[in-house]
Amino acid sequence: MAHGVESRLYRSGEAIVLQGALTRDTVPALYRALLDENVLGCRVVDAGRVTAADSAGVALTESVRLRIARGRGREHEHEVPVLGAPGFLSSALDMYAADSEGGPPPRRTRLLSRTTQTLSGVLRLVREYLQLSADVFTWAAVGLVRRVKRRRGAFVEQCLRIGVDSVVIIGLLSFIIGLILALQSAAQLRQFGANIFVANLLGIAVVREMAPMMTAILVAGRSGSAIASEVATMKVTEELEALTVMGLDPVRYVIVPKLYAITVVMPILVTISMVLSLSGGVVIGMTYLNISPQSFLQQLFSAVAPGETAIALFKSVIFAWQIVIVASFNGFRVKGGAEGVGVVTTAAVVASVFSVIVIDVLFSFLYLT
Amino acid sequence: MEGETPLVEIKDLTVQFDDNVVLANTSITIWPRQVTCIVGQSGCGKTTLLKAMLRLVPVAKGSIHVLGEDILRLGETELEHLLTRVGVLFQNGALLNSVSVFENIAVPLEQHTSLPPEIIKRMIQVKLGLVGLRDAESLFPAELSGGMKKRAALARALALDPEVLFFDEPSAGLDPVNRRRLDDLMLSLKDKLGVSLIVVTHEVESIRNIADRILFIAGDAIIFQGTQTEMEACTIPAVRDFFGLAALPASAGPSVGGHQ
Repeated sequence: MAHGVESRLYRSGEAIVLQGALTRDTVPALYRALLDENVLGCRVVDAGRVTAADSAGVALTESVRLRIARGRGREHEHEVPVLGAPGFLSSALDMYAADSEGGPPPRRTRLLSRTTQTLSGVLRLVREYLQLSADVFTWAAVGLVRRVKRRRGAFVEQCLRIGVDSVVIIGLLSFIIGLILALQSAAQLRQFGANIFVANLLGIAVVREMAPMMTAILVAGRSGSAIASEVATMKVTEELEALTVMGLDPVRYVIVPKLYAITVVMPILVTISMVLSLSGGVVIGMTYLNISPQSFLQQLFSAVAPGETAIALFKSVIFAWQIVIVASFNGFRVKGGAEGVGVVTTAAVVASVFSVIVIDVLFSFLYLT
Repeated sequence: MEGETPLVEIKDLTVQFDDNVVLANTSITIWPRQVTCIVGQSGCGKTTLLKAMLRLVPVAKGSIHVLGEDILRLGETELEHLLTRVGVLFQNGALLNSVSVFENIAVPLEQHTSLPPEIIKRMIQVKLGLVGLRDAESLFPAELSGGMKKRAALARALALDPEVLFFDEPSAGLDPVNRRRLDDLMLSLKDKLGVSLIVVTHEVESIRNIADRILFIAGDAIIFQGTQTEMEACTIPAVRDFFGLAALPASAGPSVGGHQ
């Protein structure tokens, strides 16, 4: 209560009556009394008994007008008169109305227009992604011929970051997964006396799928996130604009060295992953299945053709390119500040892993043919 | 002003950082419904004085009453409540970069009120309309120009209908057109909403446009307090020099040195 008059909102004939103090302390309760069925058939707002109002009160008055307008099939709340408003309220309403008249009228979002917006948004993303891919590969090709406008030492630095720093974790995980795969398949194959076929199973699984995909997922997690956050931070801090005004293309200066590096190190990492996974299989063969390393390797080489290894390494390069482009694409799309960087980094990792798996499915069809 | 509660009343305030005394034994009174400009050269302690009024810097000695409350003695809850009655526009706007303009203004409304979302949305539109940024609610701070950032930050400062607004160098980094626009906006806030304004600035043109009262800091003390007319007649060389006024003949005009 303020100024001795209780704050209330109620209907009286064709008017919604506002009474007492309309402040941010009283408005929540008044708003709860504002029901659509109450305003149906109303034509005006009676504000003659308002004793005080802040901007929450003004917003409430405008909300009441809007509800009445909509109840009468009108678009604009300003078509609903406010009667008897004391000077402070009417001047505030006039001031805010004058300010709001400059803006566009509120539009109703319809399902069709939202669907169209979503579709055009997706198409725009696809176009931007393809543009970036074209830029990256064009500058990568140009960079092979002309070595100017490239940061000195960037290639080696990126090789170290993406490649050397990943060797331990990729090697360790590959060995453990090799052990697990061999152990699980051996438990089944031993029932049929087909122990030796563990080498076939492990060879095909590791060379064709596990090594390239596992390596790609780990690189996406480690290096993809690093690339996305680096690019996003550079954009947020206007470093990319600074590069542009210095006459340096950000894609060429920032992304292309990473593309070169990952193209070189990814097949090496996949090879390491293959060797260590199969080593895990050899260890299980020796200790659990009584298969000598010579027999295991002989069986392995008879099952896995050299061409399959080549396809796997080629596949790993495609994965690598995908990781770099998806990460930098997300980095370039950053909005806002620190939180935006986190958002695009997460999006980059998720999109990289997803796209790696989708590409792997396409390659699986290639193996079948 | 007789009988009225001062907006801000500072007595014998001393602020120092280690051995560096920024303000020494400063006493000032600021009255409501005025634009009070705290003026002085860079590094003289203007911003420190403003921050002291908001309890953002440690005070070595003295008392500060804001809106009748002794802010140096308030508990955290009381201080938080008092701060909902004031709005602050920081020098660089201090918008949260990771959220949109709309969400920036929604923060104080959602944190300090139980207003329903529809009312909050309307209030935000009202505030944005007031500062002329009605179409910018979905933009992020990084997408705004310098002037727009200041206006968005002002809309946020206005979110809770403050009784007093503090401005720290509002014109810094703005071009003359945007500077004048911001000055006009500040004056209209005073006239239309009855808000009191305390403005830290060294922009002479802005001071001349908006100031009802001027506090001039030099060294570690207030060396002049008065209206623009009193400032014109002031004989203190530092003040006359700052405002580009010709030196008065030694015998001319009242001596208002150390005017407090």
